[in-house]
Amino acid sequence: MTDVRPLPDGTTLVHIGPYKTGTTAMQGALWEARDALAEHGVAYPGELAHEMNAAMAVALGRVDPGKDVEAFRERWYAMVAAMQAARPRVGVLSSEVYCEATDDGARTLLDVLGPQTHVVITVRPIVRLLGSQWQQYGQNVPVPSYDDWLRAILAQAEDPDGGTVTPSFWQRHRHDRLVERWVRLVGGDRVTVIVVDDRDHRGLPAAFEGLLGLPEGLLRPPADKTNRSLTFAEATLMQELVERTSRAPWTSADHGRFIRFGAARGLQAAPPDPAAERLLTPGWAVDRALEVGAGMAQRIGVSGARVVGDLGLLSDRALAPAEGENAPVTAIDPAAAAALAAGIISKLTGVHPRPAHRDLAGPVERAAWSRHRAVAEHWDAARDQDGARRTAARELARRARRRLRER
Amino acid sequence: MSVLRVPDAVAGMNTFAVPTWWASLEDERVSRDDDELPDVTLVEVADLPADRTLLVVGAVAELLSEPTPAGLAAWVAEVRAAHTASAPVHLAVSLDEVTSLDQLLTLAAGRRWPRFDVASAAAHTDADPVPPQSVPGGQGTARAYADAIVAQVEVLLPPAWQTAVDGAADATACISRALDTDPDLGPAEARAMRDACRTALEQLEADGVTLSGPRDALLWPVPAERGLVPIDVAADAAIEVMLGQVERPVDLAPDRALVVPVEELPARALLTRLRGSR
Repeated sequence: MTDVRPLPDGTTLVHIGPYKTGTTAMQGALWEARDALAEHGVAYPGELAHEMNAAMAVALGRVDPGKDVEAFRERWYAMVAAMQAARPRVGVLSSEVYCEATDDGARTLLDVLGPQTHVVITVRPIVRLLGSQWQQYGQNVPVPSYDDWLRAILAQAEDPDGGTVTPSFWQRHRHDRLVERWVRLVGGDRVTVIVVDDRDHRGLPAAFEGLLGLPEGLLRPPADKTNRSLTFAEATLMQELVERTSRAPWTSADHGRFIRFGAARGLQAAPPDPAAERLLTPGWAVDRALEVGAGMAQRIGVSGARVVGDLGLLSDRALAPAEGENAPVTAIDPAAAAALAAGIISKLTGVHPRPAHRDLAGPVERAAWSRHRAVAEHWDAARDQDGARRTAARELARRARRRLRER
Repeated sequence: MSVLRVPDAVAGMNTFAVPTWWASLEDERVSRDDDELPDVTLVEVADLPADRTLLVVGAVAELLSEPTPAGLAAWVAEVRAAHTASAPVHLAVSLDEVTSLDQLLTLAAGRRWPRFDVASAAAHTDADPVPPQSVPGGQGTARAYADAIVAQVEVLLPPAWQTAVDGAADATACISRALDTDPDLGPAEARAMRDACRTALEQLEADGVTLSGPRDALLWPVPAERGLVPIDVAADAAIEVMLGQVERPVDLAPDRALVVPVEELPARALLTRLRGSR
């Protein structure tokens, strides 16, 4: 994968994912290396490794619950303007959100970035994405059991727009259609598909280094312990919590902040119970996913896009996950149970004591804000009183000194 | 002005509500009208949005005459009997005895007692560690949970120490309540009772009964499973963290005086920005 022709100077590389194809790792690598990138004329703009909400605002016309879409749209435009003003040799944007861009969103993206935009799509075998995507959905919305979900999803493979169960799955992961769409939008010469081989940890960074004209080894994905797969028991627990907090009285704003980015992150941050069973994928689903992968490889191969890596991996049984069926779980390790609550608590402690709570905050966030704000104001008042006391003492001392001088 | 109806002690509920307790309050907001509403004490409340009937309850074991579906049904019938369209029932779970009218009105408002203590919270910052959580009864599984939660909680902002402490305490208390070390029922019966209690509460809520306080205490306790925490119990504890926050907020006066550091005054901030752009 190392013999990759660099993109021409003046290009803006847009990595559009899709999800679960090494995007977080690449965003982390680009973010960590941004000073070194700049020395090589490469700009990776933004204030975060992944400017997800800014990308969502432009590509999808919405942002996470509780956030302001206009503010994030402005942030995206400002980020791109800053990048263009710096006139880098190559500019880079990366967000898996772009893979779901609406027609308007895609048009905006390409119009603003200009004719020298090059789209990069990373693809992984579908068979390896099933389990992680089921877990990911289960952290956000109620989903059926893995077996039921697999049956529904794999039945929709040839009709990706017709499903009702997590319909975005095939919108994201009919990688062949994704490639065809962007080839239609920008032309095959401006689309590169990178086939990710999970066995080769240098493969993806090396492909990006090649495209960006960087020295080998400059991009190093950080070790990310916060994005690990959940054990089957952890996934079951997460889904129980999501099921119960996805309805009133809980709001989507609080759910997003404290469950999706709190409880789930808490579980992922804790080391997994070594005795806990991993998620297993039934053999029939592995067979069907490999079949779908083979069909996708064939269509990507004739799409006109440049392909880096081996499309044969998309239907390679050697890359299939552990096969089998999990026995139902009813209980979980106390440390994992605690991690779930600790994730929520830690997220609560991050509610900022700004003068007013966010307009879009849910009741849980508002309550935490009121507590933190009250404490902050208590401290401010104490400081103020202390300051007044010191001022009075200084004034008394000044008068005393004057009287002494006058005597 | 709304009226809070507080039925006399019945079926393990409102155990404080006896004539001597009411008499000890000597508060003019409290009255009786035994002709119109027998066995009920009325309290005038300025900030309740509508009339409501308050039932203060403790743990489920204190409420049920027997730990059976029939015992549960009998208790649910008592709650329904007090529930009317004009004064719907608010079930306030309180594991502490009610000792003051202030406490009673706090519970009636759907809040927890004691209230959030700003001065006490302000005595700590994020630099202070979250203290170890006690586990009554010494259950091994609950102890492991308590130790793990303290080890994993982070305090991200200086004024949030008390939030971390409350969250860890609420979650640990929930686990301790749920995991029974001295069960009256076998594991299967206890599990069935817990599920039945959960269903009963959902049905009461669907009927318009409102709940506050650590409502997991109304679910029958179950044993730990070979040292593991049952999945529904772990989820209850996580939810209890959020409920504990919602029910212990601070009512900040909208017209309160704010101390704004000089450097954050709008004019000063503008000046700083202008200087910076030169």
